[in-house]
Amino acid sequence: MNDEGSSGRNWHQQLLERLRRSKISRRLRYHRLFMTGLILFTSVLIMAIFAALLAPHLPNQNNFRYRLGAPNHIFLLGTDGFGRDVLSRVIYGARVSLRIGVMVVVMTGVLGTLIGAVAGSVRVLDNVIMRVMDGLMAFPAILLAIALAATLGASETNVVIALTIAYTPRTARIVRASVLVVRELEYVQAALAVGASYLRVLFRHILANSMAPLIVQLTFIFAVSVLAEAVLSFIGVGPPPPTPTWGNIIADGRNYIREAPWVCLTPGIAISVTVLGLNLLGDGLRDVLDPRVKVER
Amino acid sequence: MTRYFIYRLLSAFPILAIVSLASFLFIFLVPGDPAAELAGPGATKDEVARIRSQLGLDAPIHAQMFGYYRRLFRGDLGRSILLNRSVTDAILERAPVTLSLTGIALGISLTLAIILGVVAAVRQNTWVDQSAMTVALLGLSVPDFWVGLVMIYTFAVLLGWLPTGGYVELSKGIWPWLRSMTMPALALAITQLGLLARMTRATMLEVLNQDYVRTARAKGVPERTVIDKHALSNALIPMVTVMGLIVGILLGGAVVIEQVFALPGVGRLIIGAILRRDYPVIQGGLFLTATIFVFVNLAVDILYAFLDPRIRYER
Repeated sequence: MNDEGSSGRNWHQQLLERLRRSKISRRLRYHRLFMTGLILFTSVLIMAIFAALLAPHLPNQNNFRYRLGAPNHIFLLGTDGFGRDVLSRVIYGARVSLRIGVMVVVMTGVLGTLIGAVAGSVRVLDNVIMRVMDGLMAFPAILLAIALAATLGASETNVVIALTIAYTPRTARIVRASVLVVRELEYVQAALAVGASYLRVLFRHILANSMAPLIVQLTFIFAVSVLAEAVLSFIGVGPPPPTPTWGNIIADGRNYIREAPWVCLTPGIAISVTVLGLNLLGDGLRDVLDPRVKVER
Repeated sequence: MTRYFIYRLLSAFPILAIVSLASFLFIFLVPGDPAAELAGPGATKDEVARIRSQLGLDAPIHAQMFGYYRRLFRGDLGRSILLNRSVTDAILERAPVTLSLTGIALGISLTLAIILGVVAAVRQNTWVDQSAMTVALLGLSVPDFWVGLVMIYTFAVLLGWLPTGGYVELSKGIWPWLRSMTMPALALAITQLGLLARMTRATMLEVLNQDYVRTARAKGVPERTVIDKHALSNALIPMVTVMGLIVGILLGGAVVIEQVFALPGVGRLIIGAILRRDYPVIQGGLFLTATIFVFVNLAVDILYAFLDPRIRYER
C-alpha cells in the first residue's frame, strides 16, 4: 500500500514535471524575440566551431603585398596592416570570445551557486560573505577586470579569472536571494521534517528550484563577458597577439582608421550580433522562466 | 527618517572597509616582485631596492597596513612612482575631464531614455513601442568603444565636423569644450540609454495601470496631463534607485571612452598606471572609484527614502 502510494505520487510528479517542461519549451518556441536571439547566437556558434572550414584564409597569414587592402573578391572584407584577411580573423575571433564567455558563465555559475548557497544557509556567515560581495561590487566591474587582467598578466586564462572575480558577486547575490525564499517553502520544510539531511535538501530541492533566476542572469553575464573581453583585448590586456580576438582586431584597426576603416568595422558588428543574440535569449528566458527578475549588470 | 538615515550610514562602513582592504591587498596579487615589475627588465638591483622602499614593500605586512590606513584617514592615497607626485593631486587634476564626460553622458542618456521609454509605454505594443525598444536593445548590445571609433571615422575623418579626440578646457570657451565632448559623451551614453529606456517603459506601464490614473482619465483630465503629471512624475521615483547602478557603469565606461578619444581624465590616468604598473595609482584609483560608488548609492537610498516614505518603515 505504502509502496503503491509513493510510486503513485512519483508518477504524478513526473507527469507534472513533463507538462511544465513542455510548456516552457513551447512558450520559448513561440517567443519570437527568443527565437531571433537563438538564430543569431547559433550562427556565431557555428562560425566559431567551423572556423577552419569557413575562413577563406589563415587568420595569421601575412600578405605584405596586400597591406590595408580594400575589400575585393579575394579578401571579402579587406586586409589589415600585416595584409591579413580581416574576414578570416573575425571568424577565428569568435572562438576566443565564445570560449571566454562560456568559461566565465561556468565559473561564475559554480562559484556564485556555492557562495550563494552558503550565505543563504549559514546565518553566521551570511553577513560577512555578503559584505565582501558588496565590497567587490563597489568597484566598476570593467575597471576591476582590466586591473586584475593586467596585473595577473595578459592571457586567456587570466581574462577568465578577472571576469569571474568581477561578476561572481552578481550571481552569488541572485542565488542567495532565491535560496532564502525557497528554503521557507513547505516542501523544503517537509523534506527536512521527514529526516532528509540539510545538504541533500539543499542540492535536491533548494538549489534545484533556485536555478531559473540564475540561468537568466548567466545569459546576461555571457553577453556582458563578450563585451568586457572585447574591452580588455582593445586596451591590450586580453589574449596576446597574434591570436585574433574581436577586441584586438579593433585596437589594431584603430591605427589605420583613416586609410582602412574596414578593419575596425567588422569585428564590432560581430560583437554586436553576438551580444544582441544573447540579450534576446536572456529576455526570452526571463519572460518564460521568471518574470520577476530585474536586469542587473 | 533619522533612524533610517543613521542605519544606512552605518551600513556603508563595512563595505568601505572591504573596499579599502581589497585595494591594499591588490599589490599582493602581482606574480613575482612588484618592485622589479615596476622597475622594468633593465633595472639595476639598487633601483629595484629603491622602488621597493618607495612602495613600502620592505616593511613587514602589518606595518605596511598600518601605514596605509594612517595615510588613508588623512586623505593621502600614496605617491605615484612614475609621475613622482601624490596620487590624490594627480586624480584631482584630471577629475574635471571625467566629471564633464560622465555628467554630459548622464544628461543625454536620461533625456533620451525618458522620451523613448514614455513613448513606448504610451503606445504599448505598437510599432512605436517596438522601434523604441529595438533602439534600447541595440544600445545594450553594441560595444561603446567601437561606437566611439565609428563616430570618429564618420564625423571627424569623413565629414570633418568634430575633432578626432583631445580635450578643450571649459575656460577656453563653451563651444570648443562642447565640440570636444560631443562624441565621447554620446558614445558613453549609449549603454545607459538602453538600460534606462527599458526601465522607464516598465515603470510607466506599471503606473499607467494604477487606479489614480484611471480616476484622472475618468474625471476628464486631458491625456497629455495624465501622462505628464500623474503618470510620469510617479514613474520617475523608482528610477532614482537605478542611478547608483548607472553611476557605476558610467565610471567604468568612462575609462574606456577616455582611452578612445584621448581625453586626459582619471580613467586614462588609471589605464596608464595599469599598463605601466604604477601600483600606488592603481590602488588609489580603484579605491576612489569604489568609494564614490558607495557614497552615490548611500545618497540614492536616502533620497529614495525621502521621496517614498514606505521605504523608511520597512526595516
